[in-house]
Amino acid sequence: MQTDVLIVGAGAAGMYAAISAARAGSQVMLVDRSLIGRGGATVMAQMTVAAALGEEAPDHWEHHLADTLAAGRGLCDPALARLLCEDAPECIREMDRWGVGWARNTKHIRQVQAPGHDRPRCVYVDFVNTGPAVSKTLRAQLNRIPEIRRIGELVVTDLAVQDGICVGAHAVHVISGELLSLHAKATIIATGGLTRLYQRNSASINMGGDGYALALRAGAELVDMEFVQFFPIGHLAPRLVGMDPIMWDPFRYKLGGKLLNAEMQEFLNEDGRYVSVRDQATHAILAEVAAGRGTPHGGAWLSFRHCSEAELRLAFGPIIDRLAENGIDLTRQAIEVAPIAHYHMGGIRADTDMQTSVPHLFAAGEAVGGASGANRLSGNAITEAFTFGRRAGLRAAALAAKTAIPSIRQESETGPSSVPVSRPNPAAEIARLQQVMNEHVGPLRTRSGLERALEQITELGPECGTLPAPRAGLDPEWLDLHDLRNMRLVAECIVRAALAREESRGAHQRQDCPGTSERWQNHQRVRLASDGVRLER
Amino acid sequence: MLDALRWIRIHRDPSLAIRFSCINANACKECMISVDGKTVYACTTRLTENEMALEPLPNKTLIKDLVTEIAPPDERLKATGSSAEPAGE
Repeated sequence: MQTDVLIVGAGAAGMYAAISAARAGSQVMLVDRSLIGRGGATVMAQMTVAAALGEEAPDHWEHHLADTLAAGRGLCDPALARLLCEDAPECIREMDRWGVGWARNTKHIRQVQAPGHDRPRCVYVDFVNTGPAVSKTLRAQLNRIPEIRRIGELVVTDLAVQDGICVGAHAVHVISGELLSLHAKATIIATGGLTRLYQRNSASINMGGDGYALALRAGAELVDMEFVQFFPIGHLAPRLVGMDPIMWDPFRYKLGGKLLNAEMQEFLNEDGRYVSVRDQATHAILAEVAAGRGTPHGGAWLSFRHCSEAELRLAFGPIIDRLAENGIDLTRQAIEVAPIAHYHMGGIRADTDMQTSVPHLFAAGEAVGGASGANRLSGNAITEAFTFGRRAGLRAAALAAKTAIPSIRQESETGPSSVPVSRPNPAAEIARLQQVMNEHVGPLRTRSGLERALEQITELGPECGTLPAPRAGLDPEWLDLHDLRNMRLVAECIVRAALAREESRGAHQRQDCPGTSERWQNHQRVRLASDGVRLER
Repeated sequence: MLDALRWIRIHRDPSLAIRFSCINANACKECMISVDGKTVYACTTRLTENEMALEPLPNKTLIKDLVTEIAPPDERLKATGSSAEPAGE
């Protein structure tokens, strides 16, 4: 199969890239391991999207950039951060024209002030529906463009690289087990982040760091891999189904809410306002738990008991009924929250054309590292997906226009081998890896913990283990083996980068190296050498 | 229910085929199955201490175990380009 622009991953970044590449004249193939527009992180986003629209209060992208850089603790790639902030208003307005339904008052699009922003800047879709509305809108646009071929249930196992240039990808059709070669003039990785590496995460099953592993094995560089963002107030207890665990964010920006320790004391000096940025709040909650002031399940209380039933209904309508179905009545009870793996600041190293260090290979969205430095500002993730997706699509299309269709030589095959591999239950091994990452590579780290994690990760096998070919038909164990292979490689990158960075900054807190160090005001790049994962500063 | 199915894959039988993405946010809508003859989302259905009959969706083509073909026809590898669903097996 062949195309001009191949896009791997159909969340907001991949879908926006597809639309933008097709508009620029390319034939596009948009593939996803799950269903198109359903499986990534976008559809789960229940929160806000930041852009300096100036609808609620006068604003300029430079103010948005200043807040983004401040949140990033000195480590943002300023050019990428600028692209995100500068292009954001245009993308948000384009989505508005496409009918996404940003919440409005009578005159204008509503913008709320999320933590870390100097003014109201964040748009959303009611009720707690930002992600699904964004996905649906982009899907509707995709469906109108005949130049975009959408293929779901296709997992890309490796990129095809010939003479140092990316010429497409090897893939497996999950449903039939069929092996495929996808020949492309330009390829965009838009596979999102890696939060599935952690036991407690707010991600979908597909966010196992696939794109980072693909990029590494293709020879591309990753950057800032030690910075994994934990969302501070992820739902912990009581059991809640049918809602994203990060749903308390919109509750807090609309209603404030009180974050309390076991002694029912506010410990962040917020005074009922929602102002603490994510790394700060995460560390404060964990410090309360460590000091013995945690809740029964090991987190903090979040209380909206100051709100009346009428206020809650006005702000969240049907969501209040969904909470009631889970036995939760916010007028009577506080709920328990705790940090949960949420987003990856690090990722594939790319320039503002979204070009990676491998020619003809681009990246977009959360897969790209650097824009958020050591800590992402709230509201910037979907913005990043839109702006980077749009840019990647444009640039990939321009490159494809002057490139001949490559043919993937048989000797360069790096698709799954037919060597049978026997191993214990891979689903259980994934669960074990998630436990190790949660225990030792979370927001608070120590040298000894990281070393233990590295040992246990190494026990899972070599960093680039062979992937066997799947059995005919749907082979769930093969898919687990595929995921484990990628997760194991990416986990090692995080741990090695975290071990090397002997300071504390943003999402990376070393309890044995407290304080931020001038010496570490720089990025760590990761690549895969013949002898394994290599770290450079 | 979805937690139980995931538990089975980790602790008993990794060959069990189930379809889901978002785990329990009920956002992806991929985990539809039939429980006691009713079409439900596995992620929001509570497990009870009864015998419960889990089956693949009756009106979709069966792929394996609880997984059926629910991708829109024009988004499949062998795209049919029509919205007609094949009859169930």
